[in-house]
Amino acid sequence: MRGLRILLRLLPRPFRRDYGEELLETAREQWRSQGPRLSAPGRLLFWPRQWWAVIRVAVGLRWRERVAGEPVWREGGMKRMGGRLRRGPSLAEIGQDLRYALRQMARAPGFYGLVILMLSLGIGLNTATFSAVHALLIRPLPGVERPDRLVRLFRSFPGGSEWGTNSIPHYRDLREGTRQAFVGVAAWDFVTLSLGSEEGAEVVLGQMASVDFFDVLGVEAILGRTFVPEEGAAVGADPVVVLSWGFWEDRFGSDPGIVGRELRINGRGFQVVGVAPRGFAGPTKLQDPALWVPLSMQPQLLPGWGDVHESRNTNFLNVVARLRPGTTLEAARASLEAFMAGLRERHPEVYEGTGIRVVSQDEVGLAADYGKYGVVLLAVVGLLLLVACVNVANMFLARGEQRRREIDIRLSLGAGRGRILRQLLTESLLLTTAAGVCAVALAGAAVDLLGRIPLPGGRPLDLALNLPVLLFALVVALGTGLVFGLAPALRAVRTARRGPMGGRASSLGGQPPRLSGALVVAQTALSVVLILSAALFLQSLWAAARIDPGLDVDLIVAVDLTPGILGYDRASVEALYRRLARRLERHPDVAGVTWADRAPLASGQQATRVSVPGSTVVDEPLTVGYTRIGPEYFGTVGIGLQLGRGIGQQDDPEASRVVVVNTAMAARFWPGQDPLGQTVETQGGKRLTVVGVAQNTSTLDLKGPPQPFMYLALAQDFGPNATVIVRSAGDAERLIPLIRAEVRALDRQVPLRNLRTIRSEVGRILLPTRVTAVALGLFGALGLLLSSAGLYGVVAYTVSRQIREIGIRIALGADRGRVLRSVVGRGLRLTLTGSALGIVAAAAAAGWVREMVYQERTVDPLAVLVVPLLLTAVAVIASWIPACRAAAVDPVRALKTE
Amino acid sequence: MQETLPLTHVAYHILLALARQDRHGYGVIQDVALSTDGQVELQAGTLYAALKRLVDEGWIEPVPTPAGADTRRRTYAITNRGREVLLAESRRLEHLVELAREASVLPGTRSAEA
Repeated sequence: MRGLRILLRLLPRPFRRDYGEELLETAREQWRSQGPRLSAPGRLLFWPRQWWAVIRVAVGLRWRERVAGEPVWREGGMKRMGGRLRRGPSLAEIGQDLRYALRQMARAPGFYGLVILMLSLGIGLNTATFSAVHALLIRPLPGVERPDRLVRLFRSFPGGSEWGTNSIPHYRDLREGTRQAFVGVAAWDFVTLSLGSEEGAEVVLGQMASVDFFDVLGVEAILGRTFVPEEGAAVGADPVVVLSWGFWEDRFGSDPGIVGRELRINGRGFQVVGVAPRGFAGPTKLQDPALWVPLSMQPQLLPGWGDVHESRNTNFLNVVARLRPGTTLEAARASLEAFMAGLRERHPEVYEGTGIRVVSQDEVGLAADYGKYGVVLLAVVGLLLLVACVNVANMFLARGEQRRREIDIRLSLGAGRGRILRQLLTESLLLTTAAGVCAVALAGAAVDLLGRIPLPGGRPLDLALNLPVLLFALVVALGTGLVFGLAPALRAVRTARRGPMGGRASSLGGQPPRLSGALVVAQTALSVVLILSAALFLQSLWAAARIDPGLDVDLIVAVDLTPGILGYDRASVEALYRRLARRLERHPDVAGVTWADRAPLASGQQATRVSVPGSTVVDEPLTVGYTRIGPEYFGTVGIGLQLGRGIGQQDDPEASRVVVVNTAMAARFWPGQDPLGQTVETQGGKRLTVVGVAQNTSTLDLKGPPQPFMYLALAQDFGPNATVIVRSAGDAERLIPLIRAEVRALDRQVPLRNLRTIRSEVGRILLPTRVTAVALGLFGALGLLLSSAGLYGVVAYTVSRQIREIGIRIALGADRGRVLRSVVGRGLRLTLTGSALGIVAAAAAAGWVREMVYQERTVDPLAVLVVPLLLTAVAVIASWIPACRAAAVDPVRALKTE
Repeated sequence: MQETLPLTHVAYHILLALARQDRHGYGVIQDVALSTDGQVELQAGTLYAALKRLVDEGWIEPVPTPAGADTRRRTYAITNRGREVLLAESRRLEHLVELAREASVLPGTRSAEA
């Protein structure tokens, strides 16, 4: 009852004023009198039926009266207002409408097929793209409680670099000293482990984590337990391990009795205490650790390091903290400033000049680096959807004019407007439903395809069709279909004349409708932006492929060896590498062997603060990246030496410490001077003498100017794990099985990881650009196709409607050429306007994506010229052909054409 | 007169109902339901939209109520003009039925076959 009163507001005010209360009273009376006699469903439906009647009346009084333009009670009018003669529209009527709609569609399969194709392409691609972007970039950490309250703590160093690394003592201080801001602080790092079994050792990727790791993230074990606080107390005392769900499923077949079993990790027995819930993969998204071990076991997990629990300078941990409820990020930052000030006082030599940075968890990781790529992809595919919708709109507009005649005839034969509208609505609904179904199928297939692409981390993407996006795209596109399917038909119904045999849609009203023209402009503009963006990224890819990284990328193969895990001491490690090099060098395919603490162009970078004692140029320490290398490095890798020498056999622990700098560093630290013989001092007070200057190599992401870089001697700064780098005499790929065999022959137990060519590393770095370029290339091509087709269709149709006018003008003596030119001229004007708009928009967008592309110039004059030219050409051809045909026709026949 | 015909079913039924006697809103609904054997079930909204139209055209009018009476239960009466329209429409329908009989669509004719 109250519902009815509320719905009364839909009615026009005068009506409401005069009859509103009376209406309510009558309905009440109806309910009182009829209600008891109704069956249960009848009672349930009583009020909804009343509501529906009021709604229909309101619509009728407010809107359809305007459409019909005549008193509402004429034939068909009252029926539309809801007085029912039958329970109608009857099933039979609906069936008729459907059959009629199907017949219409069968009569023009090309038209409808094209519409369905365009809509489903637009919707499907949008959904697939958004699902992928969502899974990779937007979706919050799976399995973690309230990830929006998590923050990451980075230490910042002068020189502008920041590294997600903290030392254990620093972490301990953090945990104790920030209780005001954080409810918990946890530390973790990836660690490569050797998992022993009867078949031999297997390498797994795990995470070393502080005992409160699971608590801070809000994760509870589904089997057994996670770490308990006691397990952080004594170093090396608690060999426990928590398995990830995926690892438990793959490796142990989801064995319910896994808790309590012992696993041999790095040769030591660790007891399984629990299994993490499904979907939880730690605090990062791309790499999934197989298991978690306590930080207190660090000496066993990183044997080459010794016990670093008290080493404030060994920075390797990532820190994640949970904000106390009610604390904001700013408040946390402020309290951390105070905390850091205290640390600087107590340990000035470590913390002088450093700071701390607190960043929300959402802002780190993939989203931070690749977020912009995601946005670009989404923007472009959104444009594609728009182009498709505009196309569809145009097509319907054009067709609407055609249907007019048919509608006129039906009206004059006495068909009710309501009935006609209902049939047109059925047709539109049928069409959009078909498009929707195809779209969902396409999106599903695309998502499935994308899910199979292996990521650099090795794991395939966990993609699901994103429902909200699917619904959104469906609504947008299908909404377009409905609106533009109905609108022209509505217009036709409204303005059709009812004279004998209906009026004739006279094409003497030869000015093409303004809406159509606006749509052509919009279409052109959107297409230009779309295609230029695609072209931009394709060029970026091409430019990237031509970058010279400064080393012989195609000839080098690298493999990471970690004999440190097995507890090799220094002497045996050095012996291992030397023997391996000797064995490899015997092969004719091998042109050189060296080793370093990491491969060239490897991800992640190590750096240290470097100062030049007594320098006037560099007054405060700068952070410089470095790598520790073995002998023969520069020759093997292919980096030229400009001055001096590389690191050699003579640079052993007995000799004075040396360093080779790159050209950028020499220019920065000793401009105009000879760098050889100069001294640099690193963090921790070590002094090194410059013995050589090497050519610059590319920075990490292959973009940007070269940064200062140093090469230290691995022998003088020892670490047991190294990457062996082998230069090939010919084909780098051939070395891969060779290297594997030789390492195995030396020591079967030494874990060997990541045997790859450097060329594939470059491929990995370029992956985002590649993916974006390919996707955009696809979208751009589609966009071009759609736009050309749409443009052609609409322009050709508009012109063909002017056949009559053209005929008359020529018959009246107008110059044939001039008539043609004016017709073609319109098409030209529209596309040129659209192109201009598109170019402006594309230029603006290009500025925004500048740092994502490898080429210097974001606006390519060639593309800017070619694309609009192409589209304009299409428009011109589309106007020319029918215009020509019109002009060639006998004027008298043209006049008779209808 | 011709341009106001044909009437819609609802308008026709309402005029018919009021031709017999003055009624209020619910009364019309009841009468229409009765005389069509439940085929035509008017809802309140529909009824009043129709009533408004008929009032605007001058074919029915609300019966003047004594001051202070409940305006939620107004009674309506058919006007003379309304009766004319009703008559014209009925004649038109009669004519249609006659055509149907002549075409043997409906059984029986006015004039018996010889």
